[in-house]
Amino acid sequence: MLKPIIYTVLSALFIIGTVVAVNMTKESDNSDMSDIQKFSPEIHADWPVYNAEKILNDKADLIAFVTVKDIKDKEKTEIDDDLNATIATLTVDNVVLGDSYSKEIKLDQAIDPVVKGDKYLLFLAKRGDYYYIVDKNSKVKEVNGKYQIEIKGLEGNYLQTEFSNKVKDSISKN
Amino acid sequence: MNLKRFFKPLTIMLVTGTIFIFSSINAFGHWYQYGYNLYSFTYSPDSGSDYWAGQAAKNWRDKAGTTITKSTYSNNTVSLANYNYSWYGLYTPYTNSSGGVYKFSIKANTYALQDDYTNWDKALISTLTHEFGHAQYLNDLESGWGNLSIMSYERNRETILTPQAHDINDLNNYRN
Repeated sequence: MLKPIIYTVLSALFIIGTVVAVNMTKESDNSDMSDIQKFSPEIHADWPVYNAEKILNDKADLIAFVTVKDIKDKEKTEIDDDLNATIATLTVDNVVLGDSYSKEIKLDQAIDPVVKGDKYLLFLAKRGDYYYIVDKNSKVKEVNGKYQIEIKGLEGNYLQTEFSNKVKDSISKN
Repeated sequence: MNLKRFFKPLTIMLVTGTIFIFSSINAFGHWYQYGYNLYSFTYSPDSGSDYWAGQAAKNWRDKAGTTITKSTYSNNTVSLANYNYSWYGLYTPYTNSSGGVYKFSIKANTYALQDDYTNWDKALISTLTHEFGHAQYLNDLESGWGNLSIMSYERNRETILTPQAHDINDLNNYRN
């Protein structure tokens, strides 16, 4: 007597669940595609991804909160004649680690350039006349006064002072 | 009343359905819209990249059946240079007015590879194989993929030189 009722209820639940799940999948696929179309830059790089220890002890010459003052196309040279590189002038607002001998520094980028007027936390290496982003997670844009860090060992959403303290802690532990 | 009779087939259906749904989300999530061709294409290497690009092309041919052929007449270029940038490789698609990719260029950065890897020649093959993956519509996998994909930033570039099962699955999904 109960058998057909239970069978019907379970089948109905499965069908409803499947319909809901398929709809969610369609929405997810659509949002994935639109996100790619909106935000994925055309040029893709194979970036290194370092952990906190590697970045703090080896890779970064300067970790600083900066504001982008200006950005210009880089003059073409023989080696990078078909790179669309840019040189950004950055105002150094607050140094977390390393030495910045000038209030303004120059950042050389061939992909995902910083945006004029925006604020960033940058992990930088000095090579020749310019600074360079250290790895995939080394350019962090300020959002509502905070910085979302993805570097392993430093993950979190920080205010400037919170991040400076976190780095000091990490260095003192090593 | 033997409820077990109903639960078993329903559980199987639910599990199968869930696997199907999540695998479809995965496959579409890794699509890169500025790829060039899913089955075959040519490339023109500079003198420095000739051997290494050949190895990367062979990796795709052996593992995924993609025909990637060297041709001095190709508009798609592969080159090696010492850049001060930190990236190991760069894939640049060139699009026409309708957004279609009519050619691409691949650059490998020997400075960054030699700075980070003892066996930089292996890392170079890994990087060029990765960049040929973009030409086949495969996107970067930024975190959580470890050594599971040639498109993963976290892969060990001295040991993961060829397309992995995940890459081949994605490619086959796009081809079908």
